[in-house]
Amino acid sequence: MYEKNVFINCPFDEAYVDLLHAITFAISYSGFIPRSALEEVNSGEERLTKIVKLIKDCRLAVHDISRVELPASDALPRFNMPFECGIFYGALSLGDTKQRQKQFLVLDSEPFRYQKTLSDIAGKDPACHRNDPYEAVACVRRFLNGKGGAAPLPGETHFTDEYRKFQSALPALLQKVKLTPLEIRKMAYWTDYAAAAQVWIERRASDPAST
Amino acid sequence: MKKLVSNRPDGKPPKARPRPAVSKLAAERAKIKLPFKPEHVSEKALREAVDSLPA
Repeated sequence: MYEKNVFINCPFDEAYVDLLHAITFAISYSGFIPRSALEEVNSGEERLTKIVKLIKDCRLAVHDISRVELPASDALPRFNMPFECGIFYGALSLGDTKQRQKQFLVLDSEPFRYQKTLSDIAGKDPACHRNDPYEAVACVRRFLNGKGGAAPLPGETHFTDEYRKFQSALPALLQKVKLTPLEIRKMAYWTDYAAAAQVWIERRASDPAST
Repeated sequence: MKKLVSNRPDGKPPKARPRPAVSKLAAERAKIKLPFKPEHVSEKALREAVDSLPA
């Protein structure tokens, strides 16, 4: 499923979870497959090895480089996202024919800030989500439109409306499977969130009025 | 079983209304299989939960 796999490269912290959930939903709703290093957290595989494998398996990627702020005065910046973006770009630039088909989206929370934080990607037109999950849905939808799925995708308003409906349905869904809204926000539960979104989207797909 | 009443001038039975086609995108979404399993809940339970939600 190389063609359909979308690698999500983003911060793994609770402050980012709303954006992660929005990006995950938008990828599935576009007919693609969200992939993350959060899969198989207990596999025992070295983290970097796992990430390189994932990147190799994904034609597409969403890299969020927005978390350059320091949450506290004694905190240090994290370089994982730009590093993984670089691995992806390296595969795209230096890999075989299959790897050269890669395409990626860079996300930031502020327009043009990348010119100071990651100026090497100038010309790649990073998109700006302004820390708004619905804007992140729209950014991902714009990126995936025409990327080899069923083009054209429905408009941004349809996507954000569907995301809102899923978020509204989620508490009742979680209650039925004995999970709590607090648990699903944990990174360790990302696979559960992704699966719930996929199943909900499949059900919507079987209802022609919803598409 | 109740017989359908025709309002066609030739008196023939009414044509069945065509079912709306599932869009290409919807069909693609339905084909997607995640390459990983949910870690804290079974897929079967998720499907049952989603099916039991009000439409």
